[in-house]
Amino acid sequence: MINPLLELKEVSYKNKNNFTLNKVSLRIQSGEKIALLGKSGAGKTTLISILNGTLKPNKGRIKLFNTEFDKLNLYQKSKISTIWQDLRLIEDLSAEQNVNCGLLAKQSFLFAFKNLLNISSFNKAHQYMQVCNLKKSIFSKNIRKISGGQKQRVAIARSLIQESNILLADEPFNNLDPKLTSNIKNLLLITKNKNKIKVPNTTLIALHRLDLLDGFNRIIGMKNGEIIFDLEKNKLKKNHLNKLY
Amino acid sequence: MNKIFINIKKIFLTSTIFFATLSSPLNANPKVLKIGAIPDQNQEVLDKRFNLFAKELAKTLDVKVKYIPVINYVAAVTGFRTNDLDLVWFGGLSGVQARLQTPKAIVIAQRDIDKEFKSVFIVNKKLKLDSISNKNGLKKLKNLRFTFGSENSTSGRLMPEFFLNDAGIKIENFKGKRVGFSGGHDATIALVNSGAFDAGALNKQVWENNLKNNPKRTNNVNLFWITPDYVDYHWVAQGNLDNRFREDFTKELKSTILNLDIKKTEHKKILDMFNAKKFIEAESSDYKNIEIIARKLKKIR
Amino acid sequence: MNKLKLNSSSITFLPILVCIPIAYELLINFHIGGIELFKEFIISAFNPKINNEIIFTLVKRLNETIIIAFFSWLISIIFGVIFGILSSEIFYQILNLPIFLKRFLNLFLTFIRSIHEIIWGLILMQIYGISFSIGIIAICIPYVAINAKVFSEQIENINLKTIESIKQINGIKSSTLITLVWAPVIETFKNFGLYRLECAIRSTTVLGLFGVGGIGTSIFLSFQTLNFQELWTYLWGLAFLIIISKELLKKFNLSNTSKKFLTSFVIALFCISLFSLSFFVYFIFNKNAIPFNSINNLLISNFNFISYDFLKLLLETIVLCLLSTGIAISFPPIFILILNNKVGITIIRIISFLFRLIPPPVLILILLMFNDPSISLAATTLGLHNAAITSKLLLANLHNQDNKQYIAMKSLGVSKRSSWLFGIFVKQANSYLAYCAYRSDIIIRETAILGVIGSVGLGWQLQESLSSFAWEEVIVILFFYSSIAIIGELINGKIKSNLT
Repeated sequence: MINPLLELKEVSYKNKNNFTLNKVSLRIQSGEKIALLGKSGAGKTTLISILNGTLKPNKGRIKLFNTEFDKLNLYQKSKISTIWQDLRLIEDLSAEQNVNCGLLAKQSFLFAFKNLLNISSFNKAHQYMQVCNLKKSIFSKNIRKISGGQKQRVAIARSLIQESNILLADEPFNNLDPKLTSNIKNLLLITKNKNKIKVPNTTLIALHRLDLLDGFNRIIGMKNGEIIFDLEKNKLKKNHLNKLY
Repeated sequence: MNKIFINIKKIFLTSTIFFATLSSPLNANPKVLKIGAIPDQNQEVLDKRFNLFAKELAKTLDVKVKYIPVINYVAAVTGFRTNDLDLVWFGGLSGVQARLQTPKAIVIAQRDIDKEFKSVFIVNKKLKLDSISNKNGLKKLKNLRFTFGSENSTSGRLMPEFFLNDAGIKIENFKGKRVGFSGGHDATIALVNSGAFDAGALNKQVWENNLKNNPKRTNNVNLFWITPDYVDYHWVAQGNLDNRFREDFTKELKSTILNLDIKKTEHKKILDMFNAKKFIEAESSDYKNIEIIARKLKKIR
Repeated sequence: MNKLKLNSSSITFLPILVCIPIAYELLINFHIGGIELFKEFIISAFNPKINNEIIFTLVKRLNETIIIAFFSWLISIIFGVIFGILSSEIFYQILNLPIFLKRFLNLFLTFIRSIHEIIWGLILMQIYGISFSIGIIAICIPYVAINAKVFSEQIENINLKTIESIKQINGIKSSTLITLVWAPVIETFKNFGLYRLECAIRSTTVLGLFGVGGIGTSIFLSFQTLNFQELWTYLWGLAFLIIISKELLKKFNLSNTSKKFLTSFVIALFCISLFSLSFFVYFIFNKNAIPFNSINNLLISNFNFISYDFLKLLLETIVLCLLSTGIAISFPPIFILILNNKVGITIIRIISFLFRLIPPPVLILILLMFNDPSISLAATTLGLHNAAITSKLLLANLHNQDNKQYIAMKSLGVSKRSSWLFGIFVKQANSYLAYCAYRSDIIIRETAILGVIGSVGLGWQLQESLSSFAWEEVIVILFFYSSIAIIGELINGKIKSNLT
């Protein structure tokens, strides 16, 4: 069997706020499109935070590219990008500056500095923002002054511009109307697209809406910090979902 | 990516070295004789007096001379210690302080009047105090608002305080258990004249000048007592002037000052501004007494 | 009977009680000796001396003041930002450095800022003599530490989740750091940094009173000769400078500038910081400094000096702090409450401007014309000066607040004053008190300068020790000064965190 891209072995996590994971094991292969289902509080966000290295598990091991997570260098770690549920954009910066932050891993300190001074090149950022259906008029607007749906797309553009291998997304379709939702979903799931931008070919998206499952090829269900099912899309039955909710 | 980072480090390093070398020769020309004076009087008076004096020195010694005004006595002493000043017109106390801190310093000269210098005590007319003939009369000043001149003035603080102590009066005996420090002799007159303070002590020279030239300022003031005499002001120079300028420079400097002659109009102007007829030789041992008193009053420790 | 409830608005009024002992002592010590002088002082305000010569000196002195103030401001902002970042937790998080370094740095900064710039100036003047750069360095030392504190407080406010998200992008650490701290630094610079220029101008003026040069020196000299017309020429010149600098800075806008300008601006900042750093290092090591023999004395000297008298001075200093803080907290709201109409507010604005304009040492000298030196007098001076500053802030905040509740209460027939009190002021009370807590930090430091002139507390002893070159005493006094200031800062920190 080929080595998985990302692997969790019996990972447990517990903190004061009681977001817990209990002995979760997971292997993600390159090219998989995974939907992560579960009620709020099931542990989806915690799982994503552990997968991208933000949270350190109390027990268990994580491997990326078959290497222990702690032993990875910054460049290797930057192969994971994340769309957070609460977006986590930098307020007081403009939309395009926020998107440019996604380039920090590939660019020098000088770029970061120029970006903050508003004198760097925004061509690439604009390209990604247009792909995410953002209008030109909001490019240079302060992030505080744009709507929730627009912020959501800025966050998506920021994670896509990182051109990572693995995209972790936590409820990325919040705040989006149905038409935008399907556009963005296609963008995230279809690797070859007409826009000529590179989209991560491995994707894990946490969802709570069951009507959005088309296009995924693997479904994982979580409840109370445990994975209760992990199936290919076509094997998903109704009773699986009943267990979840 | 890393290359650019290394480049930034290089730029940082080279520019630091560049600026460090650039900022080092900030210290000025060593060939200028910098003279200073304790600010015991109005700045205008001092400016005129010492600029004139600097011109004369520059002419006879053939070096650049610059007068650098300072704002208080302490600054003059420090400026002398740190070599910012080469030749300073010190009072008795400040001169002793400066020489203790700059061991190689040399006493150049004093005025004829400095050998027997005096202070005066003045009181506001409203108090209707008659002048007294000996120090015991000073007791009448108890419980009045009293001001000295500057903290480090010999004639405006040190000697008056010494005579007050001698007469059995301590600072605590004045009103509010404190005394004021006007900062200068002219200011003492103005403050006592206005009534802001009842009494004060100052340099007899400045008092007489004001009586003569500014009778308006002394309208409401009476002379209370004239102190016995003591030594005061003197010129003090750095010990390294011969090295810095030329051989025997200090000697030449000394003789220039001592040879100021009241019969020459140019020199008379200068001497008049110093209120002196001539400058005379002085020794550091002349000031032993001042040092003893200053140690007693804890101005020197 | 209703129990008196302590809430933040009543706490702002309560300190007015300090006026009772102050007024008592002031009345005992009152005398009309200097009333003529005072009259002359007031009349001269409307009749300053104007001729070619004095205008020439004024311009020259103002130039010196601008140079000292501007450079010390700029340098202290640059290094304030740097130290602010170095002393905030985020720096150690991102670079994975041990946190004890931060504590160490914080301790160092707290010590530095606990000593007033005037004291730094006096000490540096003692060690290095009189030179132009003393002014800049003396202002910079505590200002850097104060700015660092303010900047790091704002940086600590960055949302932890935002930090995580930028960290997760896994860029170079320096890029991550600068991206995160940029916005709070710029915001703080706009809100706080620009206002510091005015502070720097004031500090330069006060330093000038002690001989560093600039307009303060002229003010002091003309005051010492009681030449009030000249004095007012200089004071109005200073007022002009403060107003102009404020207007210019208002127009300064970082975002609407061309790329070229920004680039040269950044290069200039970089050069200035490097230059100042190397100059500082040069200055410290290249001057034949420190009288080492007196440090030896320190080891030999028997500390008989810490005596009953010394404790008394210490106590006096603390009382002085408390009294003047009381005035600074309670006067602005009370006067705004009493004079709550357009004319009244304008009068308050003008008077508080004058009290901010006249440096506290000059103010106390004026008050000394008809009062004997006492703690109360010093406290009044310091209190009034600081009340002028707090009132400016309070008025600005009240002005910006919406007055719906006020209008609603007034329409219910509540009297104008009570509806102002309960409709408008109550909302501001908390933030006002928090600001006052910060202000009282500054008051503690400022007691030093007033002590020097008003012959009260440790400040006077410090001047006396400095002028008799008794270094061991100076060091002991400084130690006590900074301990008072540090304790004060700790207490104020607790108060502030309780308020917010």
